[in-house]
Amino acid sequence: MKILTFLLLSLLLGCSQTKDIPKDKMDPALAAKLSELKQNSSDETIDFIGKCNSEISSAMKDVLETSGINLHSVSKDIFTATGNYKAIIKIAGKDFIKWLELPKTTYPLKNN
Amino acid sequence: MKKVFTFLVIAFLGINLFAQGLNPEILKKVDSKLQPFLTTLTGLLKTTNFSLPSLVEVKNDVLGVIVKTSNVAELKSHGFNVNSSFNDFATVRLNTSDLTKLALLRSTKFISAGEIYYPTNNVGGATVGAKLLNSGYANSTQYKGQGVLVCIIDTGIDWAHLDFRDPTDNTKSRIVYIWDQTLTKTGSEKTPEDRDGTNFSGLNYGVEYSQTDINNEIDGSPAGFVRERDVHGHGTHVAGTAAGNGATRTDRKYAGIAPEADILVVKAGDGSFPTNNWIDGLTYASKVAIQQGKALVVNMSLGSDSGPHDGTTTGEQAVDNFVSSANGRVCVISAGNSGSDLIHVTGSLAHSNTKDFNFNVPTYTPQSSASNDYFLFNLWFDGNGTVSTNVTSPNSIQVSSSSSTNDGYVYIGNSVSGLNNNREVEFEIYDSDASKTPASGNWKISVTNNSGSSMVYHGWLYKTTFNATLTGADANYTVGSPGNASNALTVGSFVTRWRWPSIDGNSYHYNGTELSDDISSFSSIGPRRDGAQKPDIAAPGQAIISVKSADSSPNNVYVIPGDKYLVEQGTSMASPMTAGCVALLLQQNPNLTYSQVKSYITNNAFTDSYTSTVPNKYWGYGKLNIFRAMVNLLNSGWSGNFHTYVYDQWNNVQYGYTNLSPNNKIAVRFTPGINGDITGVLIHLYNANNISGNLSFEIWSDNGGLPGTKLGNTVNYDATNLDLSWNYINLQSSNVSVSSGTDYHIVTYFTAGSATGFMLDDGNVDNRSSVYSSSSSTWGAFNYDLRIRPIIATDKSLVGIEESASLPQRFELYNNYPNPFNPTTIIKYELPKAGLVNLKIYDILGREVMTLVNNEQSPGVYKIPFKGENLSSGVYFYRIQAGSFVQSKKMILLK
Repeated sequence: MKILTFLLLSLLLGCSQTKDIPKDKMDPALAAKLSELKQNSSDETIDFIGKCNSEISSAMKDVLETSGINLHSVSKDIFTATGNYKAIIKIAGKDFIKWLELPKTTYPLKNN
Repeated sequence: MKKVFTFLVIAFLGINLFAQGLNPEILKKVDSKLQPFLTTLTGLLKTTNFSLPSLVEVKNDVLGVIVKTSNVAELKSHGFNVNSSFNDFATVRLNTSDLTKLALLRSTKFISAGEIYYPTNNVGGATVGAKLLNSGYANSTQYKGQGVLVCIIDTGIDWAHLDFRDPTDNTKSRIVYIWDQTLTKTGSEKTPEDRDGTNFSGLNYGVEYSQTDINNEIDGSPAGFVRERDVHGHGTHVAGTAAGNGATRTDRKYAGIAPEADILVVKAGDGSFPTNNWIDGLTYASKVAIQQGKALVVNMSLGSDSGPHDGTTTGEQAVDNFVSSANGRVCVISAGNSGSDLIHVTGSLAHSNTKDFNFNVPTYTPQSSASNDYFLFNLWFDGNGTVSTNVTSPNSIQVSSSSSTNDGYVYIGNSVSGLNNNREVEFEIYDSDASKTPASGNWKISVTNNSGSSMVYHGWLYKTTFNATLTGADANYTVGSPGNASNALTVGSFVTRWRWPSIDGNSYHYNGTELSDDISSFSSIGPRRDGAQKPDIAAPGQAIISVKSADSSPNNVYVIPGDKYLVEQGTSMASPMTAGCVALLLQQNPNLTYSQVKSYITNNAFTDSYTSTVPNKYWGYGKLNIFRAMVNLLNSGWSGNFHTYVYDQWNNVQYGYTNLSPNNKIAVRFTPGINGDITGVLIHLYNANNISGNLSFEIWSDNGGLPGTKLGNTVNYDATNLDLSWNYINLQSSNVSVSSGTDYHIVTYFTAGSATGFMLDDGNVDNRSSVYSSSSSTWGAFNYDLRIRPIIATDKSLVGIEESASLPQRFELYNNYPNPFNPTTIIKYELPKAGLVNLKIYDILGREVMTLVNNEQSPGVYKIPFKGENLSSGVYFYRIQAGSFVQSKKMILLK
């Protein structure tokens, strides 16, 4: 019985761990945004950028798209996408994902 | 047999010409480039060996020509469409079939090809050599970006502006697509994915407008469909610099660098651009280029001071991925405008030591709502060791992690980036609650190194809404992101024009060093945090006159009279100047890789007393010189050049001027350092322009330091087109060649009007200026340095394919000349048909010394310069292989 309880707890713990925000794979801004979405149980979709460990293959592309994100563009190992909390957490758990981040803001560089 | 046949053909044509009145005297009245369009009883004359019709631009059977005539009114009375006339010249657009009728008019003295020549006054374009390439000086080719796609990722475009339309049919746009990412589609509007779900899958937001949509909008059938507007105006100005054709003005003096390139526009924002938008823009541009089979240069005049400054951000890597995705893909990016902003700190932080960063927040008036009063500080370490943080507010509130305080919200992000494995600490002090704004006074940010070894840090105060300052900061390492992308061509700014006329009736100017030819004070400074060289190159970026968006509302100070053009400054302006130049290189060879383009640009840059030794953190490899880059691309063994001779000194005074009266003359003596042709002049007018008719330019010989006798032709320039600023005048028609080390004078004058100011510096440093008094008919020395700068380019015979009336009949390799030589000689050969040509130099032991040519070449006569400046004296061989034709010849280098 104890063993069964242990296994059950381990399984539950394991499942809950997969839903944790893997902060080592994302910039603090995205982690903070995901925390906010999680806290509010929000289904809001956000734009984000990802980098993979290698050039994105069609198989990897399929995995990304079936994870529920809307993949906009793929440039070798970089992609842009839109997704909600669940979808982003799901792809963050993929081994081939190296880094995820919120878009930064750039500005026109005129000086007058 | 062939000669007899040719004679018979010519004789036959001659009979027919004569029969119709087209006798040889008529032919003399017509530019050889136009003669193929003359008609005879037997049809077009192009059956004979005249110039290629392709040398003349004909669109929809309409030809633009310049007519020297004794009677402009007669042209009009015969129904010719006279666009403009100056004294005895008129510009005319006509159907090719009407050329003969025009030639037969008694009043017609000569008809020259009115190829779209862009006698542009764009000072920046002239300074970098682009205008010389536009004009057809090199390789008998007018390099205007034909066949190349120039993509502008920016704030949009004023697609209705005439400078973005086909100059031969202004109901047609030159813009192939606009993708406005900021719009949400309605009705029948489409995203790129809607148009082509196979190739543009995922690009499923915004609205895309096709060239047809834009054309329909321009001609009003139907109207009201294209909703894209450039309210900001930045993108329109940038697009105009890269690829505008100047067509709003008849003189086209504000044309951009690649005025015949195809234009692709991605509107990625109005006043700011999220990274993902412009990454998608790169993807989109790449797909359009593939579909159209064209080379592509993307310009991004945007950036940010945050980030690791090492080329590893996702956006920077997306740029690298884009340019390496195919040949003929180049991305040009502004370096940034933080060159005089004291925002950067660096140092080494030893184990267990603490570094305090002190910020002063001045007294300020907070804005009404939340999240709009702030200062942001981004700190990067060269390793992933742990650090701890502490922030002390002006009222001594201390926090060590993100917290809301009465002195404002303090955000602290402390993590290791998965992109470069470096520790990043981000501090954001802001008003998350509008009632708790960042307190004025001294903020202290303390960072303690808890790792086992010392770490080097760099930090940037990258944004502040209330002019917070960082104690001990400098302006180094301020090239922004994505300008730090390893494979981008990153562009700083230098000064070429520093004064401009405004629509408000005044003229305005910069001050201090920005009255010189120096780097712009705002141009961001390198290198990258990892020591890599940035910026790569500097280009004109101040007082750049380009297209004004009709939907923008800039300060009138910056609007040029006529309300169609606008002055802007920034590395935003330097970048498209360079992007346009890249388009010229890609026109010549659309298969160049980004690294080849970068090499041509950086290896051929100007250096002078301002750039000092290059590369350096201000200038990169120096001032952009696209003429030399192109010549180097055309002939790998030769670096032809052009040079602007400057004898007026920057002295922080811009008001000095002399009034020149009609029929008097002013001159500057110049001593070229290269053999070449007079190709242009830069001249600065001051005060009111009181000249009626033309301002005339001549080149004179020297006579004891004063002008001696006139050489070549007088070049007349319509004075109504002059600005009270620097002006560029094309002087190629002066037809004067000059020799290195010999003194000449550039003389200018006008004959009608009243006294007009010509600018000078207030010293007499060089004793090179002189004045001519019409009353005494004498030249005399002038005690100031006039601001007149002649431009000399390498003799055109050295820079391309020889002009020839007929194509060669056989392969031929000629003896080089001169021979012996030191250090330059010319190798001439003829190709009767196209094919791969290989021309190499070998030493007497048969070792290969240099490859001069190794590419596909068209039929023609080629003159390839060979420079032996780095070789020792001796016998060398040159060997050509073209198809089955192989031949070698001997030459002697004698030093």
